[in-house]
Order: sequence, then structure tokens, then C-alpha cells
Amino acid sequence: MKENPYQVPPNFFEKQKAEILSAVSQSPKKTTSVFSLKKAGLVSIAASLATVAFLLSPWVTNSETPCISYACLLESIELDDLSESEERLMQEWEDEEFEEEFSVYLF
Amino acid sequence: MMMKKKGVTNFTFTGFKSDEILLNALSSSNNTIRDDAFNALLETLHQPIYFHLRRILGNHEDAADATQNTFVKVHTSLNTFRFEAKFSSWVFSIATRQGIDLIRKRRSEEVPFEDHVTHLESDVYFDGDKAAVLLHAAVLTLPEKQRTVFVLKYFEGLDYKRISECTGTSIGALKASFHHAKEKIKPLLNSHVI
Repeated sequence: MKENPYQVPPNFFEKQKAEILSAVSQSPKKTTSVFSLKKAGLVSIAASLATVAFLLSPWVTNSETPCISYACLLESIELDDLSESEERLMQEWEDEEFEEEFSVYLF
Repeated sequence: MMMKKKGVTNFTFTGFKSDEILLNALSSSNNTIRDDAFNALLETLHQPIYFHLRRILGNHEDAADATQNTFVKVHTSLNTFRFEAKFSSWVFSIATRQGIDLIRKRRSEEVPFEDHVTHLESDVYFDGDKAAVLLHAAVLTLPEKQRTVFVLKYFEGLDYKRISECTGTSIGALKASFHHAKEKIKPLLNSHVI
């Protein structure tokens, strides 16, 4: 990810978080559809099993470094519908494009 | 530090082990559970959503408004989430829509490049060198879709599959938009000696 030159006023996120929580607590929320609840319930069982597997896995997480980009959050999520060769080709294609077009402006 | 093991989905909302568990909590009739869930949502996505919108919109005030509207919209639209994409991608799609709506309202792509440069140079909440000013100003001259794709691809580093989830656009169309965006940005950058 490129360096982020955008800054925010002091304590902006803390203040806005409080505003959002206040707005949310006052705004009406539509009832979740039966479809969503049923599906969510079923998937929750699977998710619970996955959680057990996750906790037993040898990999550890460290949430000390906050992500400020979506890419950071997603960085290890698998793209399961692309083959390895397709992924490699796409990455090479993208790298070449960036190198040609923006190498001067990488910062 | 995030887990690096490929193939393992390590991104979860603080305290919630999956999208489904978070969704259940967000939909809970218990206020405490619901508030905790929304807190977790904000802890994880507040800053990424804000900076995504800031790159698209170019100024703090609009990005702040769009960020707040995004989370209120998420709250009121939870019943429309269908687990067809990751919950975070769905939130980003709402944020992107909020950003596009504001671009349309402000018609910022009609503002001359030089005016965007002047604005960024005088923005006390922009801390970049000349190259950064020129690039971000050039991005702000792009039409809404090209701007969104360029921001997600170039600055956020997302692959086309994720961008497709966030924008609801085909990968082919995204590649075309990204190509056109680059073609428009290049001459603007080349016209200035850094």
C-alpha cells in the first residue's frame, strides 16, 4: 500500500465513533429477514467449528497494529476461485503495468 | 502483525470469530450485545472506511460525512446482507456508494486539476510531497467510477475480485476503468516537473 498523506484532526476518530454510536442507537433498524437469520444460524454452527480449528491452529494473531486500509485487513484472505498460475499471471501483469506507468510516483 | 499463512482467513472483527457471529450480534434484541457488536465493527472498519472515502473525495469534511452515513446505513440495512460476499466488502460497497453520491453532488471531476492541486497544498490535513499532491489531485479529476477503481486498486492495493465485490462491477469493466484512469492521470503528472 502507498503511504497515506491524508491526516485527520486530533481525536477525530474517537469523536466520530461516539457520534455514530449515538446516531445508530437513535435510528430505527429493520428486522433481519428470516432468510438471513436462518442462514446466519446455520453458518454460525459451521463458524463455531471453524473457530475451534482456528484456536487450535499454530498461527497467531497480533492486533496491536491497526489497519487503516482494506487491503491490510484482507491481506491473507485466499482467492479461492483463481488457480495459482492465474494469480501469478495477474500479479505479473499488474506489477509490470505499475512499473511502467507509475514507478516515478511510487511513494 | 497479521497472520501471513496463505489460505487462512485471519481477518475478523475484534471479539467476533466470523461474519455470521457478528451479524447475529448486530441483529440481537439485546442492546448490550448489539452495542458491543457495533463497537467491534467500528474498531475494525472505521479508519479503513474513512481513508478510503478521503482518497475518493479529497477533503476531510466530505469524508467524515460519508463515513458517518455509511455506518448509519449499515445499521439500517443489515437485513439486506445476504452472505454473498464478505461482510466487510458489503460495508465497503455501501461506503463506495456514499462516496459516489457525494462526488455526483459536488461534481468535483469538473473542478480543474490546478484547483485540486491548490486545495491539497493548502489543506492542513494533507501531509504529502509535491508528487503526492499531484497524484491525489489527478485522481480527484477522474469520473466517479474510474476514481473509485483507481483508489481501490492503486492506493488500497485490492485485487480485481475484491474490487468487484465492493463495486458490483465485472472484472473486465474494472480493468477497462483502471486503464482509462491511468491514461487520464499520466498526462497530468507528466505536465508537471517534480
